[in-house]
Amino acid sequence: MNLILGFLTYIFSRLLFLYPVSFRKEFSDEMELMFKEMIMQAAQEGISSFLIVSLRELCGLMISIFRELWYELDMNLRFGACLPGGSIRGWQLGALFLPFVLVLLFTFGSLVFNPGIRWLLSALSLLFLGLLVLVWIAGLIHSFPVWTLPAMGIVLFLIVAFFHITTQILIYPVVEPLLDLAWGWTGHTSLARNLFLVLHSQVMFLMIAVALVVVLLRLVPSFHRQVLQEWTLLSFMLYGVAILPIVANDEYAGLRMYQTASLLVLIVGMVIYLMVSKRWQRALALEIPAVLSPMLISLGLYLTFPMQPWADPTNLSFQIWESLQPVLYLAPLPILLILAALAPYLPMGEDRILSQSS
Amino acid sequence: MKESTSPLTEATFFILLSLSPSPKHGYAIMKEVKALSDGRIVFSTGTLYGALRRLLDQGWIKRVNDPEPNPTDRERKAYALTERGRKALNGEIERLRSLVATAEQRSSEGPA
Repeated sequence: MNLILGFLTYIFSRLLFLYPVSFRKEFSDEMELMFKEMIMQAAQEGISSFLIVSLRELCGLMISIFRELWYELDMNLRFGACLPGGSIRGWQLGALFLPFVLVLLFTFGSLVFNPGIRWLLSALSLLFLGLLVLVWIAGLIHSFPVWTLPAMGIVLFLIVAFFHITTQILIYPVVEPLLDLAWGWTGHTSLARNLFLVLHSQVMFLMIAVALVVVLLRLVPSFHRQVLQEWTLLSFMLYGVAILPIVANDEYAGLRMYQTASLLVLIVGMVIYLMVSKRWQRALALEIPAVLSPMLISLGLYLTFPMQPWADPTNLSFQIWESLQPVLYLAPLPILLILAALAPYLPMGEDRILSQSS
Repeated sequence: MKESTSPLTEATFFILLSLSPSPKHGYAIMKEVKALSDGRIVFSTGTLYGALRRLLDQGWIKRVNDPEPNPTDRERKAYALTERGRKALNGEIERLRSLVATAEQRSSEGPA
């Protein structure tokens, strides 16, 4: 009997090696001791008791090993644990990835789905679009929880773009002739003139976005309260602004690999944002991809120039100018992500209401 | 750490209850839980230590020196309830008491 007990204890101690290291270090000695005590006691009670206990121990051990491995994985991949609201659950993680996956279907999907099964791509896109609408609705109902923020950033982008384009339509017919009159900048290829217009346009974009964010924080005090705790949440929402411009411009068609790479950079940034523990790390996790992502598209444009049949392939300055468009267009975004740090200093909407009522 | 307000599982409840009078080591917890639950809950070594790990992570129990050390044992540690664990246990007892009171009140009213 002693031989059997020794053999079982040996097997048990070997099986303990299947546990995650941290668990094993903490409990394996105690577990071995307890197992030994248990089967010795069972052996004294008779053969049937001994068999039942041995079988129960082995089954329990197998279940426990899998459970601990899963627990360890879950603890290591605890997304959003350092953000207000705590860890993000599986389906919430799905909602976070949704806007990226939807655009990824558009960029990478068109590369891998051959024309025969394009309907599948369309069906998937429609399904994800429907889910994205649900995330938008949930974001509005639940006052912008973390898992809806990149999706809400897309909505913000659409609103900012609407105001931006409208303002440009209204202002450009006035500004352009004034520029030509004042400085004599004529001809559409003048770099200084174009740079001035882009700068003017992007300053407008920045101002409109800031104004809309301020309005949003005033309208949704519960989101503002979260931003007071953790300003990078606002950056995280603004991060969603970077998603659509990747595919927004027609000129980018044909740059699918670069678009996909650009999107993957944004996804990696988001994952790092959710995993790191310090605020400056979170800010950097969003800032770096927000700069890199349009740069990748610019690189693609430069390398595949000329995309347009009318472009002159020998005109280097035009090639550079065309390539810089994505970077210039999204130049306000990295600034916005940092400006979010000022959000906690904004007076809260409900404070105003309270002071009025008192 | 955020306090859990959801009901405790039966296994967690009995582990906390077994530790409520005094600290115990693993094997003693296993035997006490078996006795307290009339043999319904019998832990294997793996499942017991998995549960103890969760409770340690939650801060509901802590490790202490074994109050009844056995000279043949290798560094056996015992587990004791923390203040937080005692609060959770008392909260659960209160919840169960209120459930039973409601059920008794309703059953004493009899059928309409």
